[in-house]
Amino acid sequence: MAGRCKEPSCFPDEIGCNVEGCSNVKDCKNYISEESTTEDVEKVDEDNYYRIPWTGNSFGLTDLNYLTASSKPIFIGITGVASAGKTTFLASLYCLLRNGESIGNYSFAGSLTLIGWENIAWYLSWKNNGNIQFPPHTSNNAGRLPGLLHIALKNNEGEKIDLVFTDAPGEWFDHWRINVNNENAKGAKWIHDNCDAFLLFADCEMLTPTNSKRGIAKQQINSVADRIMENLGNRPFELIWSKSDITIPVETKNQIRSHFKQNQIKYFAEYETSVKAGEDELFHQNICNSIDWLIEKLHNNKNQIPRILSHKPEDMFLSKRAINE
Amino acid sequence: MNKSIDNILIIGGPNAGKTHFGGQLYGRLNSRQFEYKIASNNRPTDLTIFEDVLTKLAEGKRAGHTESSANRTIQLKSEDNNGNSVIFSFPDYAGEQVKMIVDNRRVNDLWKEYIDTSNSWILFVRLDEIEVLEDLVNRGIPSPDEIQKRQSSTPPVKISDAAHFVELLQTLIYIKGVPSLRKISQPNLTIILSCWDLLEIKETAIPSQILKERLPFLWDFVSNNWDENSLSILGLSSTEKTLTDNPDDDYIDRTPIDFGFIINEKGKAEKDLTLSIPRFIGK
Repeated sequence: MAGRCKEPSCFPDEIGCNVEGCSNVKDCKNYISEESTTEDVEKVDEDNYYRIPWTGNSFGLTDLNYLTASSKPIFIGITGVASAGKTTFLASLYCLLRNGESIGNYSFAGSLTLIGWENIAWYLSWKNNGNIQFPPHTSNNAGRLPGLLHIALKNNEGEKIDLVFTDAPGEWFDHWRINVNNENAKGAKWIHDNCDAFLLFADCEMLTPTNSKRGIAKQQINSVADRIMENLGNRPFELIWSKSDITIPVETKNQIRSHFKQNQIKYFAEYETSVKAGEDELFHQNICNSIDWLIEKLHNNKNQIPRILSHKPEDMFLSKRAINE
Repeated sequence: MNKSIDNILIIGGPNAGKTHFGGQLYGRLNSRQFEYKIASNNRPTDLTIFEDVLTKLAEGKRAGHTESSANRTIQLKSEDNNGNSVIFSFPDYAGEQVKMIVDNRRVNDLWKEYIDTSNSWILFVRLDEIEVLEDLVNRGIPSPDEIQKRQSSTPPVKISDAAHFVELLQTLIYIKGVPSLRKISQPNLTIILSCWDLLEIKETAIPSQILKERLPFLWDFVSNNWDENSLSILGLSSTEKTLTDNPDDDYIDRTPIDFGFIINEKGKAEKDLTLSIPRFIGK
């Protein structure tokens, strides 16, 4: 460590100056160069670098500022209880993009959390930690922690969208479905408050007729769904049948579906996915299609451009309202 | 006459083929037998940068590795057959420095200057050394034993090659302060697929197509972020065959400038490496 910043939300050693925007931290008025026990020359060298404002690991909440300052990303809540297939879905999505797949008209145009994506693709499971919510900041070598994963996509017309996926442990949702105000449900509540769309995972392996936990699994899916459907509004909601290479009885699916049908969900869809490609790679395609679907629905949610009554409607600047005349 | 200096930054990791390319390009410019020639009264006064590689190639041997502390720049003034001059500067450094930018996520003063002053970037990519990815979508879920092993070890320091190149370019774009809302037209980007002769592909292969097949992630990134007029993908074999530390008689007898080729955007081999110059600078 060569120094620190007076601002608690700034991590100059890793991601440079975040508050004042100095390209070289040594120029910042908030930067406190730490007393060094080594030779002074080394210390100066350590300060004298130009850093980039992202660590590459999944975003913490403070880390988001760099992205959200310039655009409104689409936040996608990846929800479901432990081992429902959330991580596998995210890792598969990343691997598909890395292999050149596209999402509808959109293809890969960048990511500020490449290390985070590479981590989930590698580990596929959680590093043990007792976190109950997203950390403010994740350093680049922290391994896999709950966080937010970013991907930028561009379509054929060159329009750019930023997607942010929540990468959170299933335990958060288990606490949340039982008690929204539980201390351990903070992270799940954040996801519900802030996301623009939700994916809820139903694990087909848990729902097979031979699985003794299938009853509990159904109940868990329904109760997480109940929470998500509170104040859902126009936000798209998808039910993802993960591990769909395992067939489950239609009745089981219908039971779960009927629970959703009781509620008036404006945008609802179901997708069968699996890490196995399936016939005609349908399960893989569905991973991309599920994201394409919600992008499209969110576009529909945009406000209509207001119609202005004017004498000169073709010129917005010179137009004159006719309403009062 | 175009007097502006085209400042070309060659970006390539260790063993990507920068040094051989520099030597072969200079050899051709200096021979004055190709489209672009070194201006005869403007030969660089200091040729230290190319000394080792030119000597080695003349002996039919491969050049040594650029020492990691080396940071030198040479300015080459050349002109084409019509007398249009192009001046470009050619930095020489060890490839480890590029790897360190991504690994340490920062650039030093010298690289900041390289990045700021350059208006053309040439990224060297050696596809024959790209590791084939074994991942979820092509190999399925790893065995429980394998997952256990991954969890018990420290996070992999190494990210995939695809992610490495994307992060490198994202870093350079940020440091240079290039706006990314619209497609980038400046700096011009050339991706050189080096060691083309080792790729085992058919002769008519088109470089951009090969990049798309082998590193689709990088292809998507550059084609979504660069204006098509400011992006070119070329194949390159600087030495045409693999040289070793033992002299190659063919090389000595036919002289090094008789070896090596670039593959242009249409997949056609061109012996004249100097023809890559107008592409580098986007002309």
